[in-house]
Amino acid sequence: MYAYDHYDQTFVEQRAAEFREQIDRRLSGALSEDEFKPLRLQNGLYLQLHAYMLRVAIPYGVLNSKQLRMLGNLADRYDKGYGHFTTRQNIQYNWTKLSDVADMIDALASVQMHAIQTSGNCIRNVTTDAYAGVAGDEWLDPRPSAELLRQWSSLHPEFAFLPRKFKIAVLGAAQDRAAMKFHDIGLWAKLDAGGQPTYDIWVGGGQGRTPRVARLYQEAVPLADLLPTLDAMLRVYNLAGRRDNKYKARIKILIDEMGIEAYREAVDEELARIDRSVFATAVTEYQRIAAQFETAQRPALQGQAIAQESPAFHAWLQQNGMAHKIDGYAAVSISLKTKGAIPGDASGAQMRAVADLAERYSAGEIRVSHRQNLVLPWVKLNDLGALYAALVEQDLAEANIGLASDIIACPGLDYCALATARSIPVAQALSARLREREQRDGPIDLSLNISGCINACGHHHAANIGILGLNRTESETYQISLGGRADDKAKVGEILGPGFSQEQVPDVIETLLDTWQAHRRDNEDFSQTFERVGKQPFKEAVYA
Amino acid sequence: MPNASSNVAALDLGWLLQSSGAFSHAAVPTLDLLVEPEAADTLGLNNLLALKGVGLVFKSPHDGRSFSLARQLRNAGFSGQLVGLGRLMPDQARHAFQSGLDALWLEDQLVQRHGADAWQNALNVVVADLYSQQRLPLGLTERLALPDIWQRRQNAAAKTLPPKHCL
Repeated sequence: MYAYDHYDQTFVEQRAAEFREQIDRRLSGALSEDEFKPLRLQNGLYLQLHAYMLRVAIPYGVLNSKQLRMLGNLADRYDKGYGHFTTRQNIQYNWTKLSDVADMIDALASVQMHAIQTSGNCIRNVTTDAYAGVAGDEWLDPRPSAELLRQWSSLHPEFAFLPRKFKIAVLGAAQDRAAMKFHDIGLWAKLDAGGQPTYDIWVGGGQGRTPRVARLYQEAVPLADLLPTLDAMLRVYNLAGRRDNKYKARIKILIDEMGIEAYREAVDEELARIDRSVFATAVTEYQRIAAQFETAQRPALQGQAIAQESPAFHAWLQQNGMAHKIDGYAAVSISLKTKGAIPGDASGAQMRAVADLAERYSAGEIRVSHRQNLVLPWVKLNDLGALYAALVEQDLAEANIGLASDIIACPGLDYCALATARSIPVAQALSARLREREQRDGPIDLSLNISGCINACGHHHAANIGILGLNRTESETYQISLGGRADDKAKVGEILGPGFSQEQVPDVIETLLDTWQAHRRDNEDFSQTFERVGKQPFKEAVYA
Repeated sequence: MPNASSNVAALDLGWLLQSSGAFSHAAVPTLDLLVEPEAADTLGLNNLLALKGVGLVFKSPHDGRSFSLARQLRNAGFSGQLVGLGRLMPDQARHAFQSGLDALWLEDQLVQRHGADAWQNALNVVVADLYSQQRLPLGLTERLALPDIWQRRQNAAAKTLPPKHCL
């Protein structure tokens, strides 16, 4: 893992002190709410329906046990005993008081954490694959690139007041497990013939009311050119992105309107003006960071074996385990989607329990996944049985990673000031129904995501089955879309037809699953069946 | 003063915050042109390069275009005075100077609104170090003028290496 040195530590402490002073000026009235808004957002502080919400960064989803324990303690002390893990590897506290926030930020800084740029119209927390460094299909660990970008973008003077938020994801494996193509910029890191990092740059992805899959901007950009290229891409966006309509302000709209070629020309003009010598330190910095991650990798182990345990253990390992790139280990996901649970929520006690388990069984390391679950990346094969038993005791052994009941959902109208419908109760009802079905009939291998409004924080566009909550004539209605996916073949789902009431949704979803099963050939996944048969059979089934 | 704006013409006395941290009640500096962000494209970057003083207008505390305009001008070789004017907050002073502006000219009302102390302290309460930063204005206050973190890290690492003959 990356560990702060005194420069990093001073940086977060100075930022904590700066934000404390900004809060004081807001409380004294020296800053109006309009002025305070961009400042608080740049430090992860939203004003929600009932209280302030603080979003804390978990850069590229990596936590150590001390940090997770601190997150659990903050949940108990400053929230109502819970934290909510998000799709972009953050954690949110939904019940914070403005007067407590500065103390929370200080506490985070004491464990090398922060809330810098987890919201606002700036470069957000950089995300990546939750299995980075351990995935069998990985050719380059994306975390050093993500950490380099974290440092470069933190408090960037020029890009703190962009037209809209700006999200970057980095991958280094064959499979996309971070929804990279739904980011403003996606970087697909690879190795060139000489073993040096290069990046395929994708641009203009995003969800919201105008969902777009990112377009390929440039292939094989060498590490030395990465920051100058991003600098130029961001500058063109900052200057030319629309500011007259927040719904048309993301870079995807700029690229729609300019065209990718004109955008590329503008960026090239910018690049020609850039003094690249100011970025000359980046390659050495990357190497320094990468060395830390390499040192933390563990050697292969001999003599490790998975013991014969109960059928439930093997079912759990089959579903929640992942083949490791290093012999002798497994990476194991901990589902935060137990039957009827709020997706992504964990109690303070659960966080502390997972921190203890990480110390005992995973070299003290935990990851947060795009699908709002936790991962223990370094479990010795010999320890799997004991880990499973401990997870069962904590009610954290649900074997449903990647299944229909592993639902992504935003907080919706229960918390969010932007939401138009509730998503939590829909997710809870569906998770209970789908988990029963999975336990009865076997795994349902598809993605199901729920958003409480068109802003699509629950990634409904990118799911095999997407559910969008809307408010029509004073009552909530839920629109279904089908065929979306967030992997390397990313696609926006197609709207099925008129929406359904909250009570109808579980039956409708079961009908869709029945229809898939009826039309499915061999081992087709949902996308394959949907692409082959189209939406008509699904439409006929649910609107019959 | 020629200007590309219709609403920032009648400037007289106000407050000048310079990149050095100096803060004084002063007339607006002599500028050849005021540039609103929308007008920058029409004016053309190359037409600005020979000017001695350019004012960059900030239209709202949410609008960061003039930070990028400043950086773009500096990258293009503009060596005159860059002065920011308009709706800024004290918290944005560091953004302005780290993006290449030399000074901010602030209307009395804006200074009163935040309090003169907030502007006076604007460069003392912000995060001082950036990981990577581009060319800074000459005479920038010492606190912000240190080499960036990556440079200092690498300088420190170089010092801790044994002399070459020992390798």
